[in-house]
Amino acid sequence: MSAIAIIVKRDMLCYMRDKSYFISSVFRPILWLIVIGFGIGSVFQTGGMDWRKFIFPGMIGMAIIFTSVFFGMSIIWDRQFGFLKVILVAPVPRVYVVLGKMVSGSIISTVQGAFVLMLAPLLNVPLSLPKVLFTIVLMFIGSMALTALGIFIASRMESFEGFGMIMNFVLMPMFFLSGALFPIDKVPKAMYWIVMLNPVTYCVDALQYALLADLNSNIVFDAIDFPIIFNVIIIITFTILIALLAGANFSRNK
Amino acid sequence: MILTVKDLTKKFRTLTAVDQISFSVEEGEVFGFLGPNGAGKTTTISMICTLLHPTSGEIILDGVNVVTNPAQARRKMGLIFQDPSLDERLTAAENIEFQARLYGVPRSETVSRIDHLLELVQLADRKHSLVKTFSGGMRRRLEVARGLVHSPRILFLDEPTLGLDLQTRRLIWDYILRLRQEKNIVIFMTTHYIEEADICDRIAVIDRGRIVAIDTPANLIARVGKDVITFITDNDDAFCSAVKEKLGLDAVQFNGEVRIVAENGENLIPKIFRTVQVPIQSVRLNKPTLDDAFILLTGRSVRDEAMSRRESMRYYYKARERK
Repeated sequence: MSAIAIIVKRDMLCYMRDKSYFISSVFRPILWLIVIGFGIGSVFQTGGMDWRKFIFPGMIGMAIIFTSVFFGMSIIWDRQFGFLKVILVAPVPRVYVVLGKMVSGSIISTVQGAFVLMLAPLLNVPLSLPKVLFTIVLMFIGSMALTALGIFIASRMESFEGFGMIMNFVLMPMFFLSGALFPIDKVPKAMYWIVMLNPVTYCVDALQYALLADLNSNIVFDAIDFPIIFNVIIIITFTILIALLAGANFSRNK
Repeated sequence: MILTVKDLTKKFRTLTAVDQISFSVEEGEVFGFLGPNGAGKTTTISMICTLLHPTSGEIILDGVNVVTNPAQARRKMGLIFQDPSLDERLTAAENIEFQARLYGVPRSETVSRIDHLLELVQLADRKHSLVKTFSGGMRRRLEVARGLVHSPRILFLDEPTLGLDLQTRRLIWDYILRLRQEKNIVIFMTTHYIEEADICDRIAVIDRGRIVAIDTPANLIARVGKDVITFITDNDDAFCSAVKEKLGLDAVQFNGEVRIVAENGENLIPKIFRTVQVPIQSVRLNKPTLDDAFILLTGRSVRDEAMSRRESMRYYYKARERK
């Protein structure tokens, strides 16, 4: 247990010392929200659905996806700087190492999601204390899943050479095919199945439930596809599976 | 016997990196692995340190089977890797604290251990400085301190001075040997600097995945043969005949000098001074070196391996990182 705590402590120290990373990580989702929400959003405001409101949970989702997966993948840096070896020769179960990293990534990513959440009033998405707390809990759960995914990817990679490929073929599709930008029941059948297999879909859907369910408009019908409990179960199941796989990958020393 | 390795083998697809090596390390020893780049030193150390799974063979560390019980074995060893492995964004104390927590050092002891270790490697005044600001030698010393925080039984050092300048290298060894005395731990090191191998109690010469010899540095050198003692005297003829007559040794005149080839030259010289009355102007003793021994055993010099491009890049970056 103290191993998990020290891994988290180290990551938090590093995160807070790296000011440029901190600042850029907070501003990236805000920038996206402005560009997509206010720029593109103004074109798409048709059919009775307020698209800006619709994509707001998706924007939080985006902040979480990229931060979490990138954080998970930062293990590659540790590997290249030799620091990972220090962790791997320590008498600590691999799963604890993965768990420590997941907690760190989720804290950082939830903080960033919270910055985006603060912009809700600009899009006329009303906030209340229970709503904010509920959203934060969901952000954390989703981040655990996605950080685990990042660690899993990193456990298979020796260097950052494949990073661009992961970005283009894993992260971007996961974000775009998650129901973050458009309602998933309106997409073609083939695409629908990809959406259904995408863990991000359930994160985004859960966030949509938390933030939009109390709105009195047809957006509720468009955005929320599954019961919230179903989403949470899927996410947690995915998290456990992928974390165990990542742990096993680190244990299997060639 | 703190470490026993039996028939250890590691194959990577078609390449046999380590080929059925067996050796053991005794309590209180400084044991060295000497060999050129790519001889299998790091592969062997990685297997002992549980980072690589052996293809076959047995490793017993302080009574624990490393292959079947890696978690238990890990507690007993400290490691200093070939490549730098500190987190630059943390301070010296934080780096050690990280290690202490991973190894379950009791919280109540951690602070005093950190202070003590930093004192030992003379970094106490930099306790709260970020590692980013450290020189290569300081980083190495910090890694040594970190490797000792959980009081290991054996300390593994994989090319600990690679890329450091000569002076820093000497300093690092001073620290390591002093720590060894103070903490009474076994040191297992690899190196391809022949002059560093000299400090070992015993050396295993490893070449192409096999151990070609295990012995003390002195015995390895003795395999090369005898010493050459060169004299300049006032009267070479008288000197030669006196040596022949009194000690039964052949002295050869060569180029205005007299040469004697013999074992244990350092013991012979005083004997010659005592018994031969011819005035001597100067004397020079040439001992065969460990490098000579290495050439004899492997047919090549430790450092004459042509480095591949990739390898030389690696060395270049390593050297830069350590600046």
